[in-house]
Amino acid sequence: MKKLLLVFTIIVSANLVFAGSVPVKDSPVAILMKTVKDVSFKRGDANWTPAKVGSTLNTSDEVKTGDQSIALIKFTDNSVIRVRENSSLKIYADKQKQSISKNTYVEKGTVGFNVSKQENEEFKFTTPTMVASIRGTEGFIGVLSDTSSILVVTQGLVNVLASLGLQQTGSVGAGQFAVATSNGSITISNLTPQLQNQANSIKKTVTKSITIRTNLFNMKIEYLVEE
Amino acid sequence: MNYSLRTFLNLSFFLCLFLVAGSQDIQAQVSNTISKINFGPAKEGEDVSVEVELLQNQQINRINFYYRNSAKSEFTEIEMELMGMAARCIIPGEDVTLPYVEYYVVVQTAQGEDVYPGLSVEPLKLIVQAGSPKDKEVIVMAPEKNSSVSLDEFFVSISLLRASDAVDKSKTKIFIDGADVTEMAVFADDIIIYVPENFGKKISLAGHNLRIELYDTQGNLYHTVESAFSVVQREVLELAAGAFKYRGEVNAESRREDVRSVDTWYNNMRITSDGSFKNWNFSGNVYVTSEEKKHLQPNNRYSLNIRSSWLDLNFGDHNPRFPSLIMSGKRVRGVTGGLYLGYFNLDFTTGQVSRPIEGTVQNYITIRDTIGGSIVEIDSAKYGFPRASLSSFGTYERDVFAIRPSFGKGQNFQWGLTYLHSSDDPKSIAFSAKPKENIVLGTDLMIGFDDQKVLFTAQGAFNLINNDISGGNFTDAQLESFIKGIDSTMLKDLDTYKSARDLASKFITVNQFIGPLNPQELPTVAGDAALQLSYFNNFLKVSYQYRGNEYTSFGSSFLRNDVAGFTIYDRLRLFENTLFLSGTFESLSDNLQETKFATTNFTTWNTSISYYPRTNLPNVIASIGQSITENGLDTLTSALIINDPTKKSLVINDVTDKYYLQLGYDFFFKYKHQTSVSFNYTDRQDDSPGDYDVTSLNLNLSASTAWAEKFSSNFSFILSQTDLKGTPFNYVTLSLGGRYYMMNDKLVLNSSINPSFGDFKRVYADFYAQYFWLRNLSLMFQTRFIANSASGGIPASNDLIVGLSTRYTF
Repeated sequence: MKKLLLVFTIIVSANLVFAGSVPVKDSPVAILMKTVKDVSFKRGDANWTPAKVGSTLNTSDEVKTGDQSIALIKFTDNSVIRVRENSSLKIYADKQKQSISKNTYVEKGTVGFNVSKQENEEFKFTTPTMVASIRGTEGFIGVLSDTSSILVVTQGLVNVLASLGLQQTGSVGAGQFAVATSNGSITISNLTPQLQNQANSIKKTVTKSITIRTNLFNMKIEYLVEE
Repeated sequence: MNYSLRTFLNLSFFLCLFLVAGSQDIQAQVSNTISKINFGPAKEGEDVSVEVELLQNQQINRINFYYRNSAKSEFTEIEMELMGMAARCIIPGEDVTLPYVEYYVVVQTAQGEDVYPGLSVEPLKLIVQAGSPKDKEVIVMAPEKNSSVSLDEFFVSISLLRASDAVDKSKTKIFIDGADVTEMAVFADDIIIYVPENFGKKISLAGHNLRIELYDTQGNLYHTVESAFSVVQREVLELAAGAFKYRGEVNAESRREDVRSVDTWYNNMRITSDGSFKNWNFSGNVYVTSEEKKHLQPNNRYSLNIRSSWLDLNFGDHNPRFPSLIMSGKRVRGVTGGLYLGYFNLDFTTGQVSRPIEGTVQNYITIRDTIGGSIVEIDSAKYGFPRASLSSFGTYERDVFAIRPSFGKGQNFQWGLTYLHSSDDPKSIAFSAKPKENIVLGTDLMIGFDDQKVLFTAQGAFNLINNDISGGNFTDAQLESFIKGIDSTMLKDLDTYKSARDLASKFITVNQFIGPLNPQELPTVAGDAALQLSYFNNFLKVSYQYRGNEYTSFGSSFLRNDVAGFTIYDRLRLFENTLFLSGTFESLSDNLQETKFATTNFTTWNTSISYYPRTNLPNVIASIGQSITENGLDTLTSALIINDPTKKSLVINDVTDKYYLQLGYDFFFKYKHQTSVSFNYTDRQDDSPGDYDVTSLNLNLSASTAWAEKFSSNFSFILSQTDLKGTPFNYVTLSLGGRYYMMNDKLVLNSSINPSFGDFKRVYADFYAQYFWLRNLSLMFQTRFIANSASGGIPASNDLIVGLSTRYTF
């Protein structure tokens, strides 16, 4: 119940970010560029349905991935997010004239990002315990099992805010990572080789496939290339 | 602009060029070795590929490409990679600036040098296109520009998020390889999606071109964006995603050339490959040719490169880049590398820059050479005579070693120190004279602020040279005798001189041939400094250079010596990058060490205006400039000439005016056309007694037309009128060619005919057919026929070149 309340609070907060602007619900803000294995999306109150490559995503649409699955989403400003396995997120975007501001709520899992935004645009990630305002270009954000969040920055700069408790803030530069816990503390450290490798790995979305041909059917199994 | 007016303009321009030829990138002038030069797209800040097509390559030793942009006074040299009937190189993007890059080519043959477009002709111009801010209004989400996408994941997605309010998004058109697919595309607000599979279409496994046309609310073409991509099998991408990636290419050619009744057979093969493993990249290159001869410098090439973000190692043939005063453009066969740690970096190279080639003995003799002719001392015990008269001097093996430690990443600050030592090996051959040795010490500095919008760069160097090291270092007796010869009172410091000799001889051979002889006048000092400011759409560069008259670096043997002065270059961008104004002023002087009778001043100014309209109108580039060269001597008033009239040939006093205009226009009228017309006029008025007046007019019309997806044609017309001191040399060259794809693109046919009329008469015709057995294996047959008319006492002759080549990629 407590977790549910927390998620509700975060979603309301994310919506408040765009208070004052009127998101066009039916206006697509992103496209599903690639899906591997189990990727589904949900629009409004509709049920979860399998996601197809080339599907457009509107604001408030949700995307989730299963085991060994991946989704690559591209916003209309060419910013890319890579939704890794067992992740779930909801997209919020506010389009005004020739600009678009985005706030992606990551409920669970790991999401890589490669931002291509203008100065007057925002690109934020919100997790149950962190709000990250992306000023740089590349990295990933993840929600750990204890609801603490990790942000890894490989290029550029990201301002972070712990959304609970102490509500500490900080700036995470290239080659650094931040962890925000449920008590609102933020620790910023230099990247470890393991995190650097993970950041490199998250950028890769190429898969391999095996096709089994029988007299009755052909079956194609696609899987992620593990590093 | 209404439709009828636009149509009229289209038609007018189209008719003016009467379906003409080639693109602006193709240049053709009179040459015995070069057929034409092709350039890749020349866009500001992007690398430009250069391909020099050769008429024949009999006895071509080397081809050098020289270029400079408007901000540079000196030409930069690149040794081109020669393979078969073409030579290639890349102009680095940093040097590709508006409005144009000037260039010329020097072909070194056994008979001498062939300078293209000619010694008395102004360098050619490669027009550089400006990037348009409208390009950013179209975001190609998929497939990404220059990317490879697997067949089963291919679809097109375009975002018009950034499109201006003037654009009517619903009127946008999408073309793939020229075919309009707009009707099959789905428009969803800012996004346009085209999935060929939904319409039962399949795109081929090949390179493709995506073109997006935006239209304004009036229905006029607003802007066009093009993007290239490749569709490949999934396995190719899987391979690329693996930990170890590699690719390679094998080219092999066999060619027979019958030129001026000399029959020569050429065979060559090139294997190139590159790969990567995690954060390491590798590349290798092997080129072997039947042109590899012991009596020439190497034509074969071998290289292996290993690099990462912090280490770069090259084995074999490489062109290391050090500060340009010390080493640039020189091929070294050995090891070149660098360690890049950020705050500390180390570059080095060691190897051979020329290999030993023995001289040719005419006869063995005993008499001494008294006039500095072709008689050299030899090993009498070995040859039975103390001397030999040579019909050609040999080339010593010359080795080089250079090292440059530097401090700073080079983003805001870098300071470097460079040491170069290069020496001939006197024992490498027997029949030559005066082996040399050279050391250079230099330093360079770079300071940048505000993301390098303020950039200061400087470099300085000093060299010593020994012009004959065959005798080795001075012995004590020789040193004493030498000093005594200068001033016998200096002998009291003999021990000091001996110590100095012992110390200096660790770096360079110390004997009577070491220079400079007048170090106090800085003849072997060189330096450059430049300040760049990039603010308010304006780029300003002010630079100063100083080159002593004896400055020599064996690593950079193409520098202009004995010159000093400053250059100012300014370029202003206006109206959202549609209009560019640029100007250059340069003032240089020679005679820095007062070794000449008079000081020559070189003053050059040049202005240009470039217009790249947003609307569908031609691009326009116009420039005007003047070069003044004078040394103040006058046949009537200069005492030097009045006292000695034979010195009147020393008078330099000429003014050259230059005018250039180019119109370029790419448009669709039934078919896609690329057209251009350029006009170049130079007038050199020589007021010296030599009176070497030269006027030159060149008119070049060209156009290419894509008549269909499989067929394109090109046509060009070149009018050249030159007057060399009252002697006219006028000719016209036409070129008509075409390319046709057949058998499902497996066979490509290409042919052209190029007749020249007037004072230069020649007809050459090309035909080649390329057949793709597999997607990665092709075979090409090429033939060229050249009918040379009699000229300058050389009888008419027909040349024939027939070649077969194959290309395999993996």
